[in-house]
Amino acid sequence: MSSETLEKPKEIGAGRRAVDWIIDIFGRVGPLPVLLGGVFIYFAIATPTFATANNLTELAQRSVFLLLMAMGQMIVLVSGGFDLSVAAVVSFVSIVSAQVMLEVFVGSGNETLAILASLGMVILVGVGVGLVNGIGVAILKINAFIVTLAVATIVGGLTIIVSGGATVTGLPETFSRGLSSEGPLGISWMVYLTIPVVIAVYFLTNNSVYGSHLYALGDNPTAARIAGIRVNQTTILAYVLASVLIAYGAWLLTARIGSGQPTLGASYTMETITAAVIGGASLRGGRGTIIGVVLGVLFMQMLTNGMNLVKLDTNSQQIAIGVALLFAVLIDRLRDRARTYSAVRRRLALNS
Amino acid sequence: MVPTTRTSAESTHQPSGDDGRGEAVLELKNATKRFGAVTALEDVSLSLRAGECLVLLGENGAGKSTLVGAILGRHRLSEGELIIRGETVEQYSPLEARERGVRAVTQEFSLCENLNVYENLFVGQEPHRAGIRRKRVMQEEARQRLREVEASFLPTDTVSTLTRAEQQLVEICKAVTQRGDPGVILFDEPTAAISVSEAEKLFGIIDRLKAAGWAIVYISHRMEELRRVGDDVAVLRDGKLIDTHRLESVSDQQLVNEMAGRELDTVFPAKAQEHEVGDVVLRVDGMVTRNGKVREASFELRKGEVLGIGGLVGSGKGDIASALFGLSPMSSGTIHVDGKPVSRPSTRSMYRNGFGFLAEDRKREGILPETSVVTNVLIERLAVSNAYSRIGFQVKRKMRQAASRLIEEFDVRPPGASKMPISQLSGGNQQKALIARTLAAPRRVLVVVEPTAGVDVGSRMEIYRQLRQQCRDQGIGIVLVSSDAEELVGMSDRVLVMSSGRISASLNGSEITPDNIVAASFGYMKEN
Repeated sequence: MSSETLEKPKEIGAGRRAVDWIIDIFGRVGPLPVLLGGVFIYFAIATPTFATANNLTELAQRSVFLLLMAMGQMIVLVSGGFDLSVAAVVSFVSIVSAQVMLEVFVGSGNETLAILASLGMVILVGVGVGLVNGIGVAILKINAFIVTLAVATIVGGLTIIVSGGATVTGLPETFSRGLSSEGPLGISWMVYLTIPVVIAVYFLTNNSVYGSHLYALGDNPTAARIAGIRVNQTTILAYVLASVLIAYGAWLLTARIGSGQPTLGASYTMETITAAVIGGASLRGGRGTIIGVVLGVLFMQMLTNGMNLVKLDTNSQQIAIGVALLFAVLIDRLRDRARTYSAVRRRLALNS
Repeated sequence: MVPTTRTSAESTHQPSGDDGRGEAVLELKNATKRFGAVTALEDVSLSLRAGECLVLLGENGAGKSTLVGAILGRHRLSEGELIIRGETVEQYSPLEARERGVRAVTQEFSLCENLNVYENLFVGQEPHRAGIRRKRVMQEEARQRLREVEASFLPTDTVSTLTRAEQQLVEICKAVTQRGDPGVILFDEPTAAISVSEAEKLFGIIDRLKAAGWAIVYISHRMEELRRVGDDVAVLRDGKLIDTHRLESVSDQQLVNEMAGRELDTVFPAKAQEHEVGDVVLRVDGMVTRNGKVREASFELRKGEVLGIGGLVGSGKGDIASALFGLSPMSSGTIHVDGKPVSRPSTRSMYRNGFGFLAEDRKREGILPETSVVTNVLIERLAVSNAYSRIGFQVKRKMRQAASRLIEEFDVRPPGASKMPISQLSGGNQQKALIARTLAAPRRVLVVVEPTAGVDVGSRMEIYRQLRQQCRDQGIGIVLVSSDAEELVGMSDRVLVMSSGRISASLNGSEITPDNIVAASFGYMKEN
């Protein structure tokens, strides 16, 4: 008996197996579901208003802007890049889309036409900014940080010139009131305008051939090129997709505000990065999922919303978000170790 | 050459002893270095004598760089002693090495390119007064040092504006003229990137260093220059010191034999029969690459054969492969596939032409570390074909099936790991997965570079068997680029050996021996 046990030092008991199972699950899904659940339960108990249908639909509506933009940021992060032009694009889109809408509305008197023209303009702006960012990074080989910072500065200047610093008001009611009004199930139309986009981006990243190229590019650009991936094209498209998503989010935000604002969304650059990283995206590229971003955005919004309800002041809220960010990244590193642990365990199990 | 003339130092470094040889400045006794389970250096004893130049000779991977690392304090010995000037050094480190006068001029220069020459000479030890650098003192001293090496540039020139040879002079000045007695100076392939006349000047400097009492360690792959500068030669192979000779009393042939001498075991499958070899599938004429690594290469590859390409690191052998896929642009030359010219080769166009490619550096050029094994195996197919996609979307079921088949065929372990990030597999299994990638579609030509680097013997045998089977059953032509002479001998039906960017030998049948490959890669051929 003694020699037998000596050769197999670890007798695997039920407790050990349960721990292994938990580590395995943690490695697969990461910390967010647990965190999200924890925050939800905490605020549901701490405040009477948090877990009400009203508050939750409100929460959903508030999340869509950050969600759309954070998905864009995530695509760029996955490609191995960085987008610092989010906030500048948001205010520029707000002004330009409002001005176009007003122009067409005044000219034709047709609300639908004005809204569609404005949406077209939004997509055009997104494509344009994305092309400049993407070409700067991919073809001119300038650091993404610098390119998008420069573009942010330029677009910021354009916003002031185009708007003259003034707010654009008098937008069609369908846009300024209708989009944020309640649709079916008491949920805002904004949510319905966002969900298809989320699904499309999910399939794009997870199932399309382009998606596989995007992750490969961020994971190891040299190897991706040698594997025959058109690296420049993939990079440029990542920035274009990102800017279009950001512009679309900014357009919905403009509808929610009800007017074109030259100073809209200044905090969004950092918030998108925070949300994407909390959702598991890596600043080194190659990692990040849409489900992660959705959870990351929900987590941030839930935290903010809950803290508002418990009447925590704004400064303390900022501290909390910062701590959450650090915490999420640290836990994500543990997740890496959990995955390696499970893999090694599996390998050992197969060998014996 | 030594900046400050010190009569006392000279007297202590005069040749001593009965044999008229310099005293040992640095000695290694029974030095062994292990990295994990790998023994990189085994029981090596050497002594470096004042005023003499010891040449280190060996193939890539013979243990030269580990030995150099041990001398420079970068590697701690697992066993054995290191003795400097008769004193056993216990806590040896790069810093300790510098302080005891052990210096190196390696291929990687340690210069700050944006600073000027005199600043580089005094980096970290600037003469100063009350924290203010004394520029004039530095410049004056630098001017004097540069004069000693007959430099044609000024102390105030910026390093990045100098030629490679001039930068090397700065590096030598920096190494040699730091304070202290003459010690050990190590030159690692110093002539690799400089011209013949520049090299001649360098040899003159080395001669003067020897006269001043420095012990020199010299590493190069060029026989003629070893005889020019060297006194002793130490031959390393597989981490062991094979022998040490006086250079004047040993022939090139003997040195080559000692470097290569080893026997082949039974890890290799049978070679192609003559009737199995078919038409020419790839023809390369007059290939010259823009980076100057390939200066002239012409060859043909036939269906069903393995064409080995050997040579030392930097001989241009890997660049031939890169050039075939457009990764290293050609300045002239043509590539024909099945008799049709390929105008601008790129990875994509060559994959579409039925080529498969295994790049040299698995980590940097091969794997997508965080990506699943399935995608890693099929990424090239996703990038250039529609075999696993429909209207731009991956057909995941088809991918899983194809990947499982390949994973099984190439014995990538663990078999259930297809969804795991590939970085969690062992190196050998990653390599097998990459070989599976190169064979994920029917191919006509396979170009594999160092297919078994860092791979254990079991996986190696498996890779050899797979390659040969593809060759025999599918009639694929294989270009096998390898630094491993044994691998080339065991696998190749024909071998080309590169030396300094040119094909220095083409070996057939019984001519394919480790001796011939090593000799040709050192640019040396037997007279028959």
